[in-house]
Amino acid sequence: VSQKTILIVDDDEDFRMTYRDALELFGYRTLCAASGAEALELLRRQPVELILLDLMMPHMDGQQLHAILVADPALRNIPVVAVTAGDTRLDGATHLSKVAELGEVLEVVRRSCA
Amino acid sequence: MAAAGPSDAEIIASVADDLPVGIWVARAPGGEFVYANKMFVEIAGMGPRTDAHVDNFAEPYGLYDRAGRLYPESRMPFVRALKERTTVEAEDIVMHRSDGSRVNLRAQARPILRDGVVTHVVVACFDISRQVAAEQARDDFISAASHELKTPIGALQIRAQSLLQMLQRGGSIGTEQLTQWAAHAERQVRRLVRLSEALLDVSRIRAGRVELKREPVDLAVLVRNLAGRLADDLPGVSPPLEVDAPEQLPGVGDPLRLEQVLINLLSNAAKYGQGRAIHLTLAASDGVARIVVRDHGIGIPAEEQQRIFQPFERTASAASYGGLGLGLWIVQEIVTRMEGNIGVTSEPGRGATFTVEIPWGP
Repeated sequence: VSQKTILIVDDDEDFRMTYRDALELFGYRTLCAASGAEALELLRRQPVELILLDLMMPHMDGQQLHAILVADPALRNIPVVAVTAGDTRLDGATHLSKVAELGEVLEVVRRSCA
Repeated sequence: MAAAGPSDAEIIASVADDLPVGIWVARAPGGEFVYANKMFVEIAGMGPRTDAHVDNFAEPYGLYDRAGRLYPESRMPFVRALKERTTVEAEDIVMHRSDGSRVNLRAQARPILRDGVVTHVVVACFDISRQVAAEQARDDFISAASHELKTPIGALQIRAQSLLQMLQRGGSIGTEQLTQWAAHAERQVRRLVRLSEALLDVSRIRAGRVELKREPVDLAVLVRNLAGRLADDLPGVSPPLEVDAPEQLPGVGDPLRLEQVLINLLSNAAKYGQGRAIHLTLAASDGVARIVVRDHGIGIPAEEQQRIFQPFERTASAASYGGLGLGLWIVQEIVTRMEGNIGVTSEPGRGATFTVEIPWGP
């Protein structure tokens, strides 16, 4: 069975660690990025099956990063799950609440993986 | 008796003109313009529109509801006062002035009756823009607070459920990993405790109930101890911290509140410091202790340097960083209560330096 790799993009270290630990526990490989710039750098180096993207980040927020991804032919097909604490929505992305339960997170990740 | 100056009768005759409330009077039943006082003209930003009447009022005066829809004439207070023969109040009228500015109005209309017949209607309007802005700030704050709560709550929930799921499936977890998980969960709880303390501080400060203890404290020891365990207290980031403090600095104060001042300043420095080193300097002279926290991060534009001490305020560049916008306000309140002061110098892109001075001595 090939292991799926998930990129977690969130400026909050606690949140990155939580998702990293949980997803690894359930058989996923994870990569973490603390900013949009870091995420782009990682994405240009290695393929991932899914991006878990925090929408509210300093410098380059989730919406801006998403716009860059969509404009890039090499990256535009990676599914994005937007993680949000508010009402912000991203076109063409699946959404997950910051207070989503583990079952929902795993279900959304499983369904959304490329 | 003063010879010059108007008589009481003259003042009473013209008092409506000088009332600090916008007054507008129209004739019944059509609502034709009769009178507007100075304040009305000031609020409206233009002279009275003589072409306005019951069927055409919102447009000439640029009156909208908060959702930006033209205010329906049927709901206009003066129109209702004419029809319902009673005092009518409306709070959510937004006047779009011709110069592009907006004013939030509270308008009250009252019919003038003579022998049981409505002859005129008088409207009083108040500019409530400041109250509306304060309400908006509070709404933004509640939304920010909910946002801030969600990260640690979400993290705790996922952590606990991961552990449960794994154990229910008969899995096992090493002591080292379990320790990490527990430590991480504890950190989330501490974040929540800090948040709830900050929220409580808002009501304490507003009610003037911030009480300071007075007990012997060595400020130098307090600063060094705090610096040593800072990594645990700063969520997410732990940039290098350089401390320059004397061996001892004994005095009398409230150690918890002093720590709170330091933690708030240092966590801001870490948050906006772009990972670069933070300098914490403590010095004392002439009965005054001086605490200086300096970072090399995004900095604060000159025009925003006063605003950052206001509650719920964040600079435009800080908005995407999350947070409640309370830290510096709380710091300023505590420092003021200590009979001290706080100041900032900064240049955008070159970091910020916060200086706190408090009376200090044994």
